[in-house]
Amino acid sequence: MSSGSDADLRQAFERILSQYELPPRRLTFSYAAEQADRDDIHQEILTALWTALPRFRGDSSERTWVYRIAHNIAISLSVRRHRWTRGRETVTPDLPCADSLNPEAESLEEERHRILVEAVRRISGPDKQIVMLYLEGLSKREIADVVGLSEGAVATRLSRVRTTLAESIGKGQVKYERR
Amino acid sequence: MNADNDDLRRLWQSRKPTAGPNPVPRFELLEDSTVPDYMPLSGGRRAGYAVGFLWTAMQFWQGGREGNWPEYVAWTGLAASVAASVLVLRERDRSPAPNPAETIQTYREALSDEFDRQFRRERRIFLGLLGAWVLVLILRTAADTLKHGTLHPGDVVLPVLAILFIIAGLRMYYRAASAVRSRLSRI
Repeated sequence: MSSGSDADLRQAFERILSQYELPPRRLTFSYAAEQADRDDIHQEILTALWTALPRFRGDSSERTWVYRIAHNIAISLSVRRHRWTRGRETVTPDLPCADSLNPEAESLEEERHRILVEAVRRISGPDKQIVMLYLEGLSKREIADVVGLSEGAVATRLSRVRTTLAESIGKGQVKYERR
Repeated sequence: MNADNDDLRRLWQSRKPTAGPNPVPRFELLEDSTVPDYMPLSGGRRAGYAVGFLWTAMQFWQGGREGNWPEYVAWTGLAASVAASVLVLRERDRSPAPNPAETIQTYREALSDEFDRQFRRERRIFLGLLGAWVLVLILRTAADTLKHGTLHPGDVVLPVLAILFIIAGLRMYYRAASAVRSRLSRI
């Protein structure tokens, strides 16, 4: 990407935006409670991706590169602007369903999702990033590459944090039926 | 907990986040963005420095007019110290910013180092300014004592208050630095 012209860069950036539209937006839910703050984080992530794109040399996969930048920017902004998470225990995601369900199922699905997001928000430190990457569908190898830990360390942490997550969702008293 | 791992992933990815207004940065804004070589000062800091300069200049002028050489020297030192602090404040930190394309672990460490540098820099400025102020108060007290042969209790109280002020300020900085480190490890 380093030798690309402006047009190539724009094209690559637009392709990245369309390919990775949702993951950066989803991760903002675990870093900020308010929609306006999430938009700020998202905007900063996109700006950082654009700024870093000319220096992307393909040392890692594009996917892990996008996730690294997205999480690092979110962490950085969360530390600088502590008000985003302080004193707010409830997330109001305001998310429409991706698929149309009947109203009852949609409501239940929304509640399950809310509990999951809150449970992820309560996890602290690197475990939070690991579990979010896992939920995004990355393999342990890819998570290790994004976070900078060994694959074994990721597996250990993931195992522990999944239990925590399961307990949190269990306490939410939401009946979860497997599909 | 009946949800297995695939269910968690499906649930996490099942919702389509609402996009805020204009979420995608405009290319022209991104390309035109330039970073100044100095840190802009906030309105409060500008006002504080303006008052400080004015006060120092008045004392300097008064000391010179009265031929009170210790005071003259003391205020000259303070003026130089304030000017140096302003220059340091306005100078941009030239250390490389953390690279967000690094792994999260590496970025976290770089971010922590950056905050440490920032706090050390602010602490240096704070100590420099207040140290200079205390020096002025002590020199003035010494000059008055030499001139009049007596020591007024008020002349002792001010340096003591200044030292207490420095200690309180330092505690504030250490607490802020510690809070940032703690937040960084939690997020």
